[in-house]
Amino acid sequence: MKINVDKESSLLEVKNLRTAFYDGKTKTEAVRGIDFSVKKGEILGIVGESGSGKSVLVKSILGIVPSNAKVDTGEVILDGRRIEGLSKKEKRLIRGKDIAMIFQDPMTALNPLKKAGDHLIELLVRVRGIKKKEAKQEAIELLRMVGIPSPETRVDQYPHEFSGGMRQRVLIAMALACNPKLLIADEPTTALDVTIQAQILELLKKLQREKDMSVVLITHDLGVVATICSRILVMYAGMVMEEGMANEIFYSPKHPYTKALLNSIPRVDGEKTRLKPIKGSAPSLKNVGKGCPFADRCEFAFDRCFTEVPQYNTFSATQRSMCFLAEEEVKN
Amino acid sequence: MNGEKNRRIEKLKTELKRNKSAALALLFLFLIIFVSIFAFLSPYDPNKVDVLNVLQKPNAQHLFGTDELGRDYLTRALYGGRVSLIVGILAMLISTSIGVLVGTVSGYFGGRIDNFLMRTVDIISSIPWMILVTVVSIYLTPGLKAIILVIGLFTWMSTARMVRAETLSVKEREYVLYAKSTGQSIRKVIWKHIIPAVMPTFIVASTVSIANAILMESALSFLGLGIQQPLSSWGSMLQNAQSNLGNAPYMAILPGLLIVFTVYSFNKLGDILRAVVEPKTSGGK
Amino acid sequence: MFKYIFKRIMQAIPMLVIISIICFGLIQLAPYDAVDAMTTPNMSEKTVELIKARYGLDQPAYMQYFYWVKGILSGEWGYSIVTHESISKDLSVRIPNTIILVLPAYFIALVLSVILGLIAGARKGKLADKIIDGLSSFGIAIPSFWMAMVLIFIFGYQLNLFPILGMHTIGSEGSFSDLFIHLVLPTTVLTLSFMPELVRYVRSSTIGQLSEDYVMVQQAYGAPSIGILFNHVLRNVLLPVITIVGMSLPMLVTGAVVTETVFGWPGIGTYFVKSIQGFDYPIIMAIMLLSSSLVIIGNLLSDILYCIVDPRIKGMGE
Repeated sequence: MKINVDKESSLLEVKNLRTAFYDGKTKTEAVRGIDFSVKKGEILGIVGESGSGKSVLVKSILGIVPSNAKVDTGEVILDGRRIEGLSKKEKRLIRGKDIAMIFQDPMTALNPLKKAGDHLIELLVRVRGIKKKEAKQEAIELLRMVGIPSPETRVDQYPHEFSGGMRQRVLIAMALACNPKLLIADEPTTALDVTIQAQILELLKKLQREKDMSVVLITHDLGVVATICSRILVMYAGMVMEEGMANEIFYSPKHPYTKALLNSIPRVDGEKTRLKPIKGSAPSLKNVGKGCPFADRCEFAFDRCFTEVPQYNTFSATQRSMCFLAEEEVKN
Repeated sequence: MNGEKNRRIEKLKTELKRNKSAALALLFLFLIIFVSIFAFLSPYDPNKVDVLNVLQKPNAQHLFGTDELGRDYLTRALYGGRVSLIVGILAMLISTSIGVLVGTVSGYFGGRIDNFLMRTVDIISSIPWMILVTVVSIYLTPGLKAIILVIGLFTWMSTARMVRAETLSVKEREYVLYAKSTGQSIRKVIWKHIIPAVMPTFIVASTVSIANAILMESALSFLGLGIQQPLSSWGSMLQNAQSNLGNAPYMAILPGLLIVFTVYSFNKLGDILRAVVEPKTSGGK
Repeated sequence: MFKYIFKRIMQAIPMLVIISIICFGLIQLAPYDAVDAMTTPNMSEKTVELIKARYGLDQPAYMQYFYWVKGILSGEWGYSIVTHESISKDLSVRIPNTIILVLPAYFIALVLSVILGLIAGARKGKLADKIIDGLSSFGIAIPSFWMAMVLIFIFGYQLNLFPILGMHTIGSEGSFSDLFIHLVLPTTVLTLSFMPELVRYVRSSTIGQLSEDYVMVQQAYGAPSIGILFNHVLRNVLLPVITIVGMSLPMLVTGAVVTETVFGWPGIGTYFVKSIQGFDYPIIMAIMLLSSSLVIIGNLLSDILYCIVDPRIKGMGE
């Protein structure tokens, strides 16, 4: 029961991706068989609690998982090209050129001993093949584009001279320097002040429109998703629990986990309900049972939930959910 | 408390299984300590001069030959090991005791005391140890006691620095703050709370400091500034070996290898203990 | 930055003073009279008194200390009790000899260690790392004098390739090639004995840097791993090496003492060992003062250099 993805308009397709961490003989699966796609020109939000495997998922796609982790199976198709079939060097060249990524902690993402401009110049020379002399001018333009004031002097400054928000802008400039088709933003605002968060999200949205990129936004914050995403993937314990357009997820969530997530954040539409924290704690990936990963914390769980992993149920061309309850609902 | 102990023993076992060279090093240490304790079982007297059998090459009777006075070389090496190990262990005890004392006092009280002690550490460490130790030793009667004292008294600085850093972080922990607020005496707080918390650092530092003390002793004895005849250590045996290098090269082999393996093994032991007591670094960083 | 440098210099000066007081105190404690170095047994009481008065030795200890410091600052280091030679004259011959032995060795060790440490760190857990790391942890356990003996035996006695004693063959002083072949073995020993700790330091620092976020970011932008290593990681690894160089100075002194003794090298190390054996207190204290001042000044310089090179500290207070 797979969602029919329009082959023409999808930029990235991921099929049955599995990634695990290895410590000696013990294996901990962080990503457990994930399928999803990113359409051209859309902003897809991937939502989940910390430890749900969302970061590992995108790092697996880029092939930059930590040395103790390994992508076990999975197919990644970018713009019609299967990445597995490519040589190591071709895979490397996809990073930056086709897919660029910005990271959670802008404070540590830049080399402290390199000027902000040098980070950009290096990329422009390597990825775009621009000459070093012209690259500096281009770097200044990029810094201006991401809203850094007086870029002519900023270009020669070291990372420690920038604030957190400004560093995140430098990182976004790095991403733009490559003219990527897909931009992955891994919790880009988590480490920033609330006011700066909004600015950065606004910037991402604006650039996405101007450059006609696709964006994958990873976050644990549903509020962030609500601001800019058109489609949403809800992850839990290395699996996709529910997937759908933003309005489907926010207004008719089908999966108990999605519902629980929505109940745990304050609503802005005036309806006054008590906030309900999700009981229990985020799953330990070390001892996953046979059944649904959310069963332990699910208020609707019944016997079958603990023994069998549910199949996906499709509700619309764009919405599907991994839950038995939804199955019942569909049948009725 | 008990569960913690069991966990560490488990950890030690897996560490030894994973790290073969460490397991070998441990085995070697047991062996070398064992044979130097039971060195008296050797049929030869380590100090008995035998002019008829001078500078014999290794043979069936003298497995590692004899030295320039006809003494059985293996036996001397075993007794020498005793001396080297005694120096290493006693010097370690002196140096880590001073180091832990200075480190905890400095870290716990802070302020002027800390400033004074740390400046003292800076000053002593700025004199190269070789110079410091030899200079002090000329004011003492040379011999086993002197060398243990000088090595022990002037190598505690790095331990003190480590323990101080540890104490600084421990003393801010809640249980220590609680103990202080309930009016426990300073001595009790240090003894009951601070010392146990810096224990892991102390244990790791001590194995490394045994290794260093053995190396220092061997260098000093080699220069003729350490252990004096008829007592010998591996270092002083090498001093003898150097003057006979042309005609009896085998004399340089045994004591040299023994130093290398013993020091290596103590360092490895330190690595294992570090992995056992500090769970964070066990990932192999 | 200048504030920091100023503060750092202000810290070093009292240390130098205290060290000099310790040295002076030890000379006073020593069982000899400083005037002995300048007199001969057949001099009359009166002449001895005159000499004492001339050098201020009849004055109280603190005055003597000031004379002593004044002398040291003007290059007047006193006389050996044993040979009655001027110490500053001896030092001016011996120090250059030690420098041509120790400095090249340390420099080679530094360069090799950075290369090997980077390789090991970048290939952590792989064969290259296992070999490099394994050899360095063994190397730390090898006493340098024993390594010297092994090399002397193999290359001197067995293969007869290199001379094993001294600095020159008699008759060909001043010949550079002669000096060079005399340098080979002791330099090798020193280099090898400096290396293990440096390699381990560079290795662990490389491993630490490679796990930093900025490395992952560079990977995410498709930078080749060699490029990341040399363009990004290297400078972050090299920066703290400056401090290590400063801290290694005591090791250089120790290395010089042991290695010079084994190879009979006429440098400061053999001078020191000889003075210890002859209880030549003025020389011993001179070397102690000299070497500890060297360490303090070395640390000071490396701290200052660090703060000039590191943009993060450089920018402070500007």
